[in-house]
Amino acid sequence: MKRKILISGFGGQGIMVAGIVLGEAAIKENLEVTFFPSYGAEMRGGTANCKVIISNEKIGSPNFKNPDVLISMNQQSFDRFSKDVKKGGIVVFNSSICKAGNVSGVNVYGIPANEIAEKVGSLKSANMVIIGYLLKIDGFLDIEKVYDVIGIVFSKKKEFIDINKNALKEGYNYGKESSFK
Amino acid sequence: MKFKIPESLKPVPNHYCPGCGHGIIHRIMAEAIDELGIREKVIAIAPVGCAVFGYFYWNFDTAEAAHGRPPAVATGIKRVLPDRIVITYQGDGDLAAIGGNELLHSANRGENITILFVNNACYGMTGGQMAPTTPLGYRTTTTVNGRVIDDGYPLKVCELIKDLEGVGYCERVSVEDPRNIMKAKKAIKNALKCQIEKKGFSLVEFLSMCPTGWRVSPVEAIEVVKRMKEVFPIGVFKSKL
Amino acid sequence: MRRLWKGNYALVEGAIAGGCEAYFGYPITPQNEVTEYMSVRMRELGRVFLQAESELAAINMVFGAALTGKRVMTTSSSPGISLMQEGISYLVGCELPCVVVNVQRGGPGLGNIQGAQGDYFQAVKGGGHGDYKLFVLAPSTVQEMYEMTKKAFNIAFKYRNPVMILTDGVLGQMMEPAEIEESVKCKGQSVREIEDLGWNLTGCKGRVPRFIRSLLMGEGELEDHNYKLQEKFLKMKEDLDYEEEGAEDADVILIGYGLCARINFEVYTTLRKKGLKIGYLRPKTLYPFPERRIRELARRKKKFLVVEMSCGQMVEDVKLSVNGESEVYFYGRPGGGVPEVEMIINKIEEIIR
Repeated sequence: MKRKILISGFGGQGIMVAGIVLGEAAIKENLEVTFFPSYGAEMRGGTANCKVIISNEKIGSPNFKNPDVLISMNQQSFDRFSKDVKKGGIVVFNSSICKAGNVSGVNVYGIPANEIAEKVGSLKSANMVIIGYLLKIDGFLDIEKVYDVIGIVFSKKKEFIDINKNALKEGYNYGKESSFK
Repeated sequence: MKFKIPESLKPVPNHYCPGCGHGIIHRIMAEAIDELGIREKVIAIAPVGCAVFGYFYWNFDTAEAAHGRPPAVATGIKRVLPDRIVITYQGDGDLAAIGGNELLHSANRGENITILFVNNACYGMTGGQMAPTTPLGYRTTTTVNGRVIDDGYPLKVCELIKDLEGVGYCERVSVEDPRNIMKAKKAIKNALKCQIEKKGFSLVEFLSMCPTGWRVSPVEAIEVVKRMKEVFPIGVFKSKL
Repeated sequence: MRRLWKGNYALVEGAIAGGCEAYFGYPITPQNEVTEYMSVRMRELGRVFLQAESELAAINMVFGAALTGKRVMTTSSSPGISLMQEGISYLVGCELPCVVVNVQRGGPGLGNIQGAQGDYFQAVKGGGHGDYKLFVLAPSTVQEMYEMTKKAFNIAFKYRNPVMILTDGVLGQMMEPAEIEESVKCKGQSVREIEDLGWNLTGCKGRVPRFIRSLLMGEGELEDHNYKLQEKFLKMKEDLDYEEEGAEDADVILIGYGLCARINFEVYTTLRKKGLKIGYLRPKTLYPFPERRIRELARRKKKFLVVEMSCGQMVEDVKLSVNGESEVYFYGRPGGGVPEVEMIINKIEEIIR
């Protein structure tokens, strides 16, 4: 098992936190994991991305060019990175503010993450909605483990724990209900 | 009458040229330290310049620093040993040219250290080249026809730092005659008191003789220092004491 | 408990666990988290933190604190480390212990802020003026960012010499699971009492005054001092460290340090599964270098492929170690490029063919 996941969006959309949640959940499953953020001048101008590798073997470089999975939280991310996704890979995008462009050879899934997030209580939880949805599409991590780590990752923002758990659940259930392409 | 050697000076002859001001300044620094009873708490920094061998003469803990960096080294010492008395002894090239940034920022941080700044208007050790403090018109080995405006104006260190909030004591003195030497010693004591009382950064600037660098006799050098005061007026620029 | 840790944060915790009493630093990407996190942790522990006005000032503040026998550290990235070279030379000349961390980025010049390994020569061959060496540690994981920084202070004091931790922007910025001692998180641990180490400057109470200098003008004095230093640099071999796997029966041995070693290990496991006789060797100390082990393997006609994030620097030390006994190949990418597994595999296939 090995997944190279690129998470990309605006600053403030919880891009880094989404990566950390996946990473901590991978630790719970005794998997190897690396997390690599964009930093420095790359972060100026309001875009952010992080790269997460989850594997059952030791990981070499935490950096990569071609992800297996792209989580695209905004249009710019889709336009910039969807062409890099490996053949047969997955693109999950936030259909609330992003339209799927033309990409071939990859599986593209949209979810209105902003609307769902607002419904569960905070627009800020759109990142968890999309993580939940991804894990329904590609169950490389046990969703229960992700619930567990939300309590740890958000230990300093207790009021967000339940919202994020609900967001994760809604995303996951959205996956259950919709039929995949 | 026999001169007693201060405890803070080692009873050894020094290497300074006849008529040089360093020997005088070493002595009054040593006397001031003795009189304040702080010799065993002093950690001093010798500069790169003629006084680099200060540790052969000073009878207290001393280190040598890279050219211009004594204020940074002193900062490192003072931050980890705040109850020690940290003194840097620097020339005009060391302090005002290559070490300008360390001077400015240690002063601005109000670093609780004392800088003894010997301004003899030239680079004595390397052969009498122009210093940042060389007055206009003065001949040096790199301004053979005299310093002109193109070479820059003489840098007035006390005037430059006095308005910084971190500065607790700042005085310019001269060491060409006994009366001024006594005043200079008092200035050193005040600067050290400023440090002891944790009132911030302190600096004493000494207008001092360099007959070798200036290519004049020791007696003429005294006259040169007197003339330097027209450019560098002596006096207390700041005192929080 | 294994948690995700960022390399730069793990490094800070390592320093604190290693007893670092004072930190002086200046902001530069990609190591800003170190300076920022230090400012919080050192202050809450009652230790010394100061943001210097430049790297020049920072290394000289380190010099000042090191004179007193305190455990002191600075961190920077390539351009800043270049600025510190003068101070590092003085620290070695004066035999002062301290820890300097280089979170390398791409060069030359302002370069970029990607991780790179272009400062190997600077780190292991001296770097500043004069004949000298630093003890150089090269972490490869976030866990090692912690462990090696912790260990570095003891090595620095053992040899009274600066220790450099040579890492890079990728290892500094990345997160991965690491186990960091929780005990060091408690507050109230302050600076240890000042002790007389026989050489440090603390004020001359109860003893004769000391001086610390690197200017040695007497006839033969500096020559003698250099011989003494060289003896010490040789003695550092006591703390030589490297790891290897599959080298004994290998035809080709991959050598890399830091991030490249991780990539090499991935190549090694991939090719071993395919039945290829590949070996893996990683120097954990870059000075001292595992030259004897490499020579031993070279005499058995094993070939070497050195992988670096540079145009080839450590490969020269491998060649010196091999000393013509076998063949040495190189694959590297400069300026922030990271070698890819596929390219290394291609290179190995070329060598075997």
